[in-house]
Amino acid sequence: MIADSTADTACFWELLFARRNVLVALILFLVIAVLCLLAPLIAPADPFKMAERARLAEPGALYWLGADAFSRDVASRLLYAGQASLTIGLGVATISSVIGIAIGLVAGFFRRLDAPMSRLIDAMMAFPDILLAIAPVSILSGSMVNVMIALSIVYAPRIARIVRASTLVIRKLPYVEAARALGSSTWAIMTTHVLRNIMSPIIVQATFIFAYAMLAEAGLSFLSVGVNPATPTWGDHDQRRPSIH
Amino acid sequence: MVVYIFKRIKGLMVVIFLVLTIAFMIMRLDPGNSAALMLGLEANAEDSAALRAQLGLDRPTLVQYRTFVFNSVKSDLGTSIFFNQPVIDVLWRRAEPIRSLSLFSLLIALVIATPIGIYAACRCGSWLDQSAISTAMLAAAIPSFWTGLMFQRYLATELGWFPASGYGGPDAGFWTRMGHLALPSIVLGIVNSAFIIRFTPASMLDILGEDYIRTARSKGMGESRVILRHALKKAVIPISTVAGLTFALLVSATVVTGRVFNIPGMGNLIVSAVLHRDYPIIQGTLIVVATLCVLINFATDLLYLLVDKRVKY
Repeated sequence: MIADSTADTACFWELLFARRNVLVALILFLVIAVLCLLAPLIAPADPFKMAERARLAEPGALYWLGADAFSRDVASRLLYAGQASLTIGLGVATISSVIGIAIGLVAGFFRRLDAPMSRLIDAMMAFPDILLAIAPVSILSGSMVNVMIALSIVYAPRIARIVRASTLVIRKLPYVEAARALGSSTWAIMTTHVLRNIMSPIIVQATFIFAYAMLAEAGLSFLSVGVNPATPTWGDHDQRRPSIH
Repeated sequence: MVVYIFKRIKGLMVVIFLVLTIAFMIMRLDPGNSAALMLGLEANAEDSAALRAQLGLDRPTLVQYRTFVFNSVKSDLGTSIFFNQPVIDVLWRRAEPIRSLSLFSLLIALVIATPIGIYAACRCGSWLDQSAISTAMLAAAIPSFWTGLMFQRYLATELGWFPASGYGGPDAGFWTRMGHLALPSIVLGIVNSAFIIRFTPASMLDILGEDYIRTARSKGMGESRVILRHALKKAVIPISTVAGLTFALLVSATVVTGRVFNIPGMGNLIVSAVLHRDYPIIQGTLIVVATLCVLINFATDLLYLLVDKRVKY
């Protein structure tokens, strides 16, 4: 077993280095993520502090990327914004995956629940993501948690649809039948045999959702219906300085 | 085939009914008194009670739900609180910019994406293919409002090629109004083309591997003729399916981009509705847009039946 897993790991790294696109993307992502996580250490200024006479300052030694209309340092806000945006992306990807997996597995496994749940997924997917997120955020206030919940509701059906389709394929395979014949409970089959074998499409979809959620959050903040405007996110904007990001 | 269409229409009805139900449920997420929230801090108890009665919020939820569904079926989506007009009228007045914008941007997206997608498929693995796909990924990764702001600043304000924003005033002619949609359509077209480019090469490659393409080639037909005459005809189906599927994405981008260019479309409507807590407008927009998406996907499915005679159900 141990030998196997080290071989797997070696293989993983070999694959990673063989595909240069993936490697470059991974390094870029890690650099951005680490910079954002270290924001309190490296940010040149307090992202909330409004300095005197700095309004719309040009980029320079003091303000690396200039200052915004509220005299706040753009470079610092950019770094702190990364924290918020990445958290939302990660949170939405995780929550929507959990909800989507649960719904998809149930729909794929229990034939009687399949039709109503599939129709429900179809109906949810008919709503454009930003519109569907605006409605709950406008009613509950625009806190980061509410934005995450709203976007998770938006993206969970996408995961659910894929999980359902993969489950339908897997549950017919001989090893699932064998497990059933050996007396495994439905729950055990669902979690150990099926879920483990449909993880790769789920992971692919979850990474897409990570990106879409960050874009959607940026859109929501741009429409000023997202997270509270004082909190920096990558959707903040200033009409007079469109080049800040 | 008729049986299939009937079955699909039945499913369509169920989905639209569920769309109504979801919209109803979302608008009742509010834990507190939404009428008091709509009226603001200055309102007294009688005012909010009157508004609750006017909106029907004082009745039991199930009764509200039944009235809501019956009214929606009769295309009565309630009355806007801010405009004091039926929601359907408010939406209808904004139909022209919304409709023209989505149509133009879809056309631009197809004009950009189809040749690039075909070229990428024919030269699969070359640097041109790679760079086309990377550019498409980049275009999809940039928020549409950023592209919009850039275009607005450089192409409209500095070069003056396009009108920068608005919809040409209340008495502008048709062509002036359409001119104001040019730049937003290009922005949306670029965003949308990225999605189409991602799917076109794969389906094009499938088609290029078919026997009849090999036959056409072996007859001595030129490569460009093979692609334009035979392959493209088949590629219309997958491309139109993707185009139909991107409609929901397009609407999302339209909401944001319409806001950048200050077009009196859905973006401005929904933001003002959120600010004024005009819940009937938000609910009505949700229902109308989602129903449209369902119908468009249904239409693209029917297109399959028309274009590809081999598809049997």
